[in-house]
Amino acid sequence: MQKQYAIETGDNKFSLIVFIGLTYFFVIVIFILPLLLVAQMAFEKGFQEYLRNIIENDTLQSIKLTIVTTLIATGLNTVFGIGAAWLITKYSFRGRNILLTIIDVPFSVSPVVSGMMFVLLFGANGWFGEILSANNIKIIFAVPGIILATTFVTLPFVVRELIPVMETIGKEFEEAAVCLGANGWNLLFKVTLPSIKWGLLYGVIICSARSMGEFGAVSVVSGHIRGVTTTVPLQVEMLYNEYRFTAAFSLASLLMCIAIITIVIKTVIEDKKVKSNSTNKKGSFNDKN
Amino acid sequence: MIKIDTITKMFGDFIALDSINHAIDHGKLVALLGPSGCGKTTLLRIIAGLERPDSGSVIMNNVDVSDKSPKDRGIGFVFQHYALFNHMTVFENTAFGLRVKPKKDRPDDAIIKSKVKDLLKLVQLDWLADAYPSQLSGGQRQRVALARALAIEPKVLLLDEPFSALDATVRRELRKWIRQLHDELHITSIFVTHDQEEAMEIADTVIIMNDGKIVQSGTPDSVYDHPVNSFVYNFLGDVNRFDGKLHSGNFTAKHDSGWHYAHNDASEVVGMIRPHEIDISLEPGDTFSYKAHVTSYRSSGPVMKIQVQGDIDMQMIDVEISKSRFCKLTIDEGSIVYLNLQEIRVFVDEGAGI
Repeated sequence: MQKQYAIETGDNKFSLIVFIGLTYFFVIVIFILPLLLVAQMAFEKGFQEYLRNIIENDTLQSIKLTIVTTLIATGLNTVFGIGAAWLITKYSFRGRNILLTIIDVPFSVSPVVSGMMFVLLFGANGWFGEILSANNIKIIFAVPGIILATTFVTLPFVVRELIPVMETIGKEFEEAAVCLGANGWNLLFKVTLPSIKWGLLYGVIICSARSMGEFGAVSVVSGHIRGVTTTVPLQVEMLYNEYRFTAAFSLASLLMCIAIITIVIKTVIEDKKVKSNSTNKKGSFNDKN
Repeated sequence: MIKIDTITKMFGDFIALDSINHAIDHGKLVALLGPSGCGKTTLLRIIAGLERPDSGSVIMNNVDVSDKSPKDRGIGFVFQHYALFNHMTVFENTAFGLRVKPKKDRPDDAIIKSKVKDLLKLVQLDWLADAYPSQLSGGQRQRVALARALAIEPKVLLLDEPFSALDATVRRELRKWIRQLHDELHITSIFVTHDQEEAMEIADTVIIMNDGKIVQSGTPDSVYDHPVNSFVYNFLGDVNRFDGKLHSGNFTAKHDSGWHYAHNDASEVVGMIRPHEIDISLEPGDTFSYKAHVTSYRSSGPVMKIQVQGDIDMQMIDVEISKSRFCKLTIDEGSIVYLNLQEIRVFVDEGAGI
């Protein structure tokens, strides 16, 4: 590591200490303290009570629903992400820039608005409302709506992660594979996926973490039917509103654990990603001609 | 034999290839030579099938392959930056083309193994079979890329600037080695290069391109000795250039300096002479008629590079003579010298502006 002499010398030393102190202060007040408080509230009435709160029927149902939603949403976004990133980086076509912009819409639109969009589309008075009710299909206030809303909100994560990765890799590997006789299937599984695997995994992790925690959009389309259309975040809110604080915080601590695990995995993957990107450096074998 | 039939390729408004026609003989090592942006790589990629021409066709061994994908053309392609699969070992990289064959054509594992071994031996890298590309030097990587391309037994080997990413010593060694390999295997090979020395040294045939057109093609000797225009002459080595006119068979430089060259009449012409074709003398003579003074000189390996300035036209001229001759002449900065420019070539063409 190279030392940053410019900062560590003389006059700057004082301001450096102030800034570092301020940073730690905020990290503690804004991150660490709340996390500890959540844990404290969750275990306030002991471990037994904590466990009982978690395995309560409605809560277990909400965990199940969250897992199913996350799996489907992340799965869809992974397939879409690989396809869209591939299209955007390998081809230049009309509307490429528009597609790039549209992909970012879920990032910029408030999740509540996203949820309302789906109500306008599939709700009882929405565009497709009549057709859906005539065919007895329920989307809003049902599981499909929750999955749709979650998928929409988390759509950019995988694509956005893959576009820069694929851009650095370039076309040559795939062209080489095509010249060697690889068909589309070989290309995808033997060349493209292995070379983007760390970027992809990173995107998938972030996408699933966001899916599990999504509240706003899901809240609008869910209808809060206890034990049927409540995901974990919604269940936390409902418990909280019913003044069942310990139960609410017990479930919240679960989300918190997932967040921490996500961060750890993310850090590990990021490290791998950096390493696999720097494999183009000079090798350790000598050129023996 | 590969036939390129009136191929045109545009990138937007830019004409990359302008109705190119050419035939490449079987078993030859051919260089596509030209400055960057002349369309040589595009032509190679069109032959490979990695790029589609806007019009025209590619014919290989009397079969029109224009609509075929690269894998059905029987080509091996070597990329400028190797394009090795980083997640595979050298062995697996080389075996890739065999492993992705459809099941009915795919050889047994044992056959693949022995074949890859032989190939790695051929490129002298069998000892690195288990290494990953990231552990290899540039020259080694390019040889793996070559082994990988050869594994599918291509009828034509296409190489896109195969040496340009390597440093000078490795580049020289590798190109000598490629020539030897070609003499052993006799696969029709086409390589793209912007380095005239590289092309002249190893190719059987040199195809010189400029502005999306083929300017000249032939053996290295024939294009060097009989350039069709000033562009080719200029591109194949250092030149001194004189703009001028032709009057009744005599070339007169724009700033008349009192020497002449026999040629047909034309109003705007360009005279060119290579630095080593100029002789230099301290005394004026019949042929030593161009008076100049030395502005600088420096040695470069076995030769002396002298820069002189014409006394009448003030033109800067590069002269190259052997070191021993330089010592005999006792030249210094400011010396008055007389040049022999008899070997000047006069070109009546438009390609002079390079």
